[in-house]
Amino acid sequence: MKLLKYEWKKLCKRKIIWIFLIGLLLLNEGLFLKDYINKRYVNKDLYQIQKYYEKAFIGPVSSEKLEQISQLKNALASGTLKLSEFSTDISGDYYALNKLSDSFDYLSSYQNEMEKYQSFYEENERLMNAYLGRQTVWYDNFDGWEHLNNYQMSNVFILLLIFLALAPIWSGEREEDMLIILNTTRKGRERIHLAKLAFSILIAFMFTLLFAASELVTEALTFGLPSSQAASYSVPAFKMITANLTFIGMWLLMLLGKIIVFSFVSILVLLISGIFSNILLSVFASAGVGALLLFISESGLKLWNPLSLLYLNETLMDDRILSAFGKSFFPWELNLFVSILLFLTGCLICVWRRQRI
Amino acid sequence: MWLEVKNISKQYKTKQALKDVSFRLENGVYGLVGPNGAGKTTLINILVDILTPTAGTVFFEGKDIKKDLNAYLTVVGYLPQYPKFYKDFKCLEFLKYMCELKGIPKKRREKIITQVLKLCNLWQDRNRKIKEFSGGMRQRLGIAQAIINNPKILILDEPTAGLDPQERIRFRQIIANLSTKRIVILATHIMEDVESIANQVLLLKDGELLGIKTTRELLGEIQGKVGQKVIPPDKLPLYKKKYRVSNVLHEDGLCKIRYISKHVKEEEQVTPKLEEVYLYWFT
Repeated sequence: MKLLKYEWKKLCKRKIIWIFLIGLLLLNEGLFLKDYINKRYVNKDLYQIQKYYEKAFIGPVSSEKLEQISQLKNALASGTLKLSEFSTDISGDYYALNKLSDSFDYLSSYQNEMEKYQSFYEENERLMNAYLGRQTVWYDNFDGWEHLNNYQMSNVFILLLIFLALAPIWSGEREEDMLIILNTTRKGRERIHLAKLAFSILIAFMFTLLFAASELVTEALTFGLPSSQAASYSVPAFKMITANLTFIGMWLLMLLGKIIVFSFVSILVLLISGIFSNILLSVFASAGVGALLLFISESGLKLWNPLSLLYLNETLMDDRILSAFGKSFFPWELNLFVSILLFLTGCLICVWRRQRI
Repeated sequence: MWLEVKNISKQYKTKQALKDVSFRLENGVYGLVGPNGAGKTTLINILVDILTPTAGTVFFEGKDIKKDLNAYLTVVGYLPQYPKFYKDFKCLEFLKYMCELKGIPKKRREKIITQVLKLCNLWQDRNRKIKEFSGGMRQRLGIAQAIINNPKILILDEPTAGLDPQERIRFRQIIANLSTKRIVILATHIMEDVESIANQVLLLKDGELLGIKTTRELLGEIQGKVGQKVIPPDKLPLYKKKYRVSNVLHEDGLCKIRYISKHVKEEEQVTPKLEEVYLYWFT
C-alpha cells in the first residue's frame, strides 16, 4: 500500500498528466453537451414545446393516453388545437406530437411485436428466454439514457490518458536510472512490480470512473435521467437488447465492460513500458498497439479483442448464439469472458515478469 | 565481516566480461580500478545481484548471497553511475521513499534521514526539488540514499565522475567518514580518489583481476620506472611513440615530460603518482 502511495506521487508530479486530464475532461464535456446545447439553445422553442407535451404524458402507458395523443394530432390538423405558449406556428407542435405519438406507438406495441418474434426463436431457448415476457409499461423522456449509453468519445480520451500515465511506469524508472536502485532494495526487488500492477489497474478504474461520473452528472443536469429502473428496451435503439436490463443496469454493465477493457489496456501498457528505456518510445508503442486494437474492434466484434467491449451498446443487440463449453452464449457474454481471461493472464504475466535492468 | 567472490565469470553473447575472478574483502575502502570495458560495472552488478554470473558465487559472511537475498539486500547500499533520480521529488520525499523501499521502520526514519542529510551536507536543501540540484548535490543525494539503511557493504560506481574539485573533496570526506565498520567498494578511474580514500585497490583488466594491492604497494611497484626530462617539442611525438607519457608541460619553448619505462636513468627518476600506476597497468 505504501509503495502504491509513491506510485501515485510519481504520477501526480507530472504536470502533463494534469494538463491532459483537465483538458480532456473539458473537451469530453464539450462534446458530450454538443447535442444538448443544439437541442436546448439552438432549437430552443422546439425543446420547450416537446417538454410541454411530454410533461403531460409521463407515466404508465395506456390506451387512453394513446387516444389522447391521437385527438391532439387531429385537433392540430383541423386547426382547433390551442398551441403551446412557445409555439410561433404549428410545425413545432406537429413535430413534438409526432415524436410523442411514435414513442407511445413503440411502447404500446413492443410486447406484441416481441411475442411475434418468439416464433422465430422457438428453436433457441436462450433467445426465447431473453425476449420472453417483455413489456414496456412506462413512458418518460429517455433521451438522456439513450444518449448516455450510446456516447463513445470518452473511450478514446481514457485510452490516451492511460498511455500518458502508464507508459513511463517502467521506462521512466529506466530513464531516471532508478530501476537499478530499485533492484538493489528489498521491496524494490520483491514488491514494486506488484505495486505497479495494482497502480495500473487503479489508474484504469480512476479514469473510467471519473469520466463516467462526469458524464452521468452532466446528463442528469441536462437531458435528465428519469426512470432509471425502466427497461432499457423502452427506446427503439435498444429494442433487441439481449439482456433484460434497466437503463441504469445497462449503464452499469457498460461501465463494468469499460473497467475491464481499460484495466486490460493498462496491463498491456505496463508490459510495453517494461521493454523501452525511453518514455516517448513507450508512449508511442503503447498508443500504436492501443490504436491497432481499437481499429480492429471498430471493424466489427472480435471475441478475442477486449476492446470490442467498448462497443457493448451495439454488441448487446447482437442476437447471434455462440456455443462454447457445451453451452449457448450471446457474443457479448463470450467477449466479456475472454476479456476477463485475458486481463487475468496479463496480471499473471506482470507478477511473473519482474522488471530487471 | 567479509565479502568473498569465488571464481566469478560472466559471459555475454560474444564477450567474456569477467574471467574467473576471486577475492575476499574485509572492512575498509577498496578502489575498483580499470579502464572502460574492464568489467567493473559487471562485477558490481553481480555484487548487488542485478546480474547473475555465468559461473561462480558471491558469499557474504560465508553465506551464498542468493540463498537469502532479502537479508543480503538489507546490508547493501548502492550508488550507480550518473544517477538522475526522480527529478520532481523533493530531496526529503525521495529519501522517505528509499526508506520505504529498504524496509526501514517508520519510527526510525526521521532520525536516520536527518543524520544522513547532515552527513551529506544536504540538510539545508532537503525541501528542494532534485531537478534543482547540481551534479555534486545529486551525487551526495546518491550517497545519502545508499547509506540510509546503514549498509555493511557500500558500493559506489564512478561516484566522482563529472564533479568539480570542491565537490570531489567534499565527496571524499563523506566516504572517509563512512569507511569504518563497513566494506566500501569504489569503482573509478580517477586515481586521485583512490589515492586519498582507498586502503586497497582491485585492478581489473579485460575481465581479469590483476591483483589486490595497497596504494603503497602499487606505487612501490613502479618506483624507478617513472622519469622526468626536458626535450625539444619536435621530439615529443617520438617519445610518445616510445614511452607511456603521463604528463607534458610546455615551458620556455621546451617540453617537460613525465614518462613510464622499464629502464629509466637514475638521474631522470622521480616519485611516481597513482595516475602513473594506472598508465603502467592499463595502457
